[in-house]
Amino acid sequence: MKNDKEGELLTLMYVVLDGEATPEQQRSLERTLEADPAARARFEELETLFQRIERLPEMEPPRRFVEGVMAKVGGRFSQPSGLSRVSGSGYDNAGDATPGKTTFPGGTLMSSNGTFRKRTIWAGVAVAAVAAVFAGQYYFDIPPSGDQVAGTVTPAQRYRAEQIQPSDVKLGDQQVAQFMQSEAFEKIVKDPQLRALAADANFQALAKSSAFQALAQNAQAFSALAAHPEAFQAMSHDASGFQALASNAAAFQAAANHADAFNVMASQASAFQALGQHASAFQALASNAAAMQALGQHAAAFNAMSSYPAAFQVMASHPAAFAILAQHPEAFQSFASNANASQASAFVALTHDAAAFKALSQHADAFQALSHNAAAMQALGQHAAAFQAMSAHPAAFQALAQHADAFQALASNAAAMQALGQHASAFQALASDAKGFQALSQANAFALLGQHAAAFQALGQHAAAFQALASNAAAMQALGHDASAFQALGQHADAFQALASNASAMQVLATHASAFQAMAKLQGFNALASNPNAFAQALAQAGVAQGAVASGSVTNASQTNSSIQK
Amino acid sequence: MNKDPDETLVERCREGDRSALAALVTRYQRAIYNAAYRVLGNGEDAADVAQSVFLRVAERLDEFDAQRRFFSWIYRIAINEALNVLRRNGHEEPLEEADEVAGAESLDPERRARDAELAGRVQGALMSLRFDDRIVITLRHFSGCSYGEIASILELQEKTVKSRLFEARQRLRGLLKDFEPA
Repeated sequence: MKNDKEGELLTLMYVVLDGEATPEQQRSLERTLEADPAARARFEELETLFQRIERLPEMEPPRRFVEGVMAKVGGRFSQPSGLSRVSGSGYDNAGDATPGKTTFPGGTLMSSNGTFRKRTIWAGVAVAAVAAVFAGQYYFDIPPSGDQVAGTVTPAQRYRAEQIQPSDVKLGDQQVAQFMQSEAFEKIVKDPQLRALAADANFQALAKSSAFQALAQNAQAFSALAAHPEAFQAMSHDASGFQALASNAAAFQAAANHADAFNVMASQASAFQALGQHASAFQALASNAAAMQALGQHAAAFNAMSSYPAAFQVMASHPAAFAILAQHPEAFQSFASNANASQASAFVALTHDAAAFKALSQHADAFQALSHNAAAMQALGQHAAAFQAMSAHPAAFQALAQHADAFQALASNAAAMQALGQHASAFQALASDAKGFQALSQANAFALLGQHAAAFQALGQHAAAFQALASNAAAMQALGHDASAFQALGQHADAFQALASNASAMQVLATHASAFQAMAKLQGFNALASNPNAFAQALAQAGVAQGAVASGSVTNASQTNSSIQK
Repeated sequence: MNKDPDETLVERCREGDRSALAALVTRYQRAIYNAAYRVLGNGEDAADVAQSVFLRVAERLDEFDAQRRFFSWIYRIAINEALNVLRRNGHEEPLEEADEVAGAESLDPERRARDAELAGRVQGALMSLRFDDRIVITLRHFSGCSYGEIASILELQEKTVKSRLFEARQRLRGLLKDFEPA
């Protein structure tokens, strides 16, 4: 029977720690933990187990994994012949479809032994050539269109955008025109591989988009968009061209499907700033995991983009993408260290989406970086759902605890504290980080929290969270400086009880006369007094506090005590 | 209401759209690789499994029941592939500890050493569990699946998932009980 009960309790603990408990189950566990120290110890042991498991780092898949897989797929996904060589993907020898162990290509685009240089030259020629082939498509009907084109890939329906007329296209690049008159051009336009590239669905979709007209001024870069990272880099330098691209979501989605290209682009902050002005393009970006990964690796780009709240909000609606981004704390660090009004608004946009925040919270390092920004934290505090999502992740909270300013900003928001109070494990994590708490104490952030009576009142409704707090001497020390906090807390007998059952917390508190004095005047004092051992121990060790109580509301205290004795 | 992005990508894949397949691989590479890594305990096998998973997806897309969630299907394929690797190897590969704290360069050396020790110990304990136990722990803790999602992947009832998780964690708890990081 006892074993059954223990099993049930353990199951309940696991359900709560898994975040799958109903509010009633949560309350039931809290009541049990308050009443049963052995159960509390067991619960804490399980929390430690969870933290240990979840601290295992996320592993990076092999470099260029996606390309490795794509080189091996066959059937309906077979790649058009010759395309890989033109695209410079580096997978010319990766076509072996034999199952078994695979060596993933690990070289970078900028590898040693001259590969990069050779590729740049080749790409430059290919870019110009493709631009020329494309120009040829419009002006000279090269290659032949319509029924004569056997095997041409039809653009996917979703990429069909507003179609422009050939007369709208004005190729301003004199180099292209000159190149078209050269012998090289003649050779290249006869090259079936280049024709294949020009027939690529993504490439064609881009060419037919409304962005084409604007981008035609930078035809070389545009032409290579679908497949050439190097060209993409060139285009990224041209913010106005990029802005034109960004105004077309479908075009952008096509571009974002090329991870290498996107990675290069992400190194250009100005390009991203242009992108940030176009929420629909950003939506396309956010739905592409590789693009987000690339973005996360370039803090300056992320920072530039974060000036646009609408873009940020769109991104927040893609938690999976956001989770990828969150793996790059340096991006958040950059965001956090350059706080301005518009970036705070961006953060507000983000906090509207609890799922995105949950994703972020799973990455403590990112969260820690973000925590540097008090304005962002204040914005977070205004959105209880986001905060609640975050609170379910103790590691995130632990990271937060290391930044007093951020915590101070949060502390001014009652709803946030209410949400926090519902997650004892998060609070436990916060309270268990001695270094973090020390920082909080030094900056008086925690004392500031105590000045927010409503926030503290919210906290007081969660005895388990309070118990976690009470077990941290530094926190209690900070708290003890503030009588109004106790006044707020005093309205919650359970919280008080939790405090009273923690002798070491009481000892620390006892050195703060004003806090004790405030406590003695409170309704919740009954609860405190009902634990005579803790109370007596605290009083015995705190002559100052005793004096304060005596001179303040000794009548109240002694009445309470005597009623308990009876 | 927005359509599930997986659904859209799967539809496009069925039409032979390579870029949609690349997007699916990109979307799931990390999740599948990490799940495989935690179940198999080494990066090479995990990479192998992850690749096989995506090749299977490409081959068998027509067998995918659109009534199910794509992620349940792909995780199930991953579990089967991982099981195949274990059977093929005949024994379980030793744990790779070297890169367990990859990406932690910003941490101080002491913390890195501590984290590495903890990671090695936890992964080691995980590897000494039965395959079924490892699967549920991995899906819950590393893939972030809810009880319902695990049930859907393993085609079990939620209460069975809960019970398996309970047993698996109790065993893991026993294995890690005496561990105190230095």
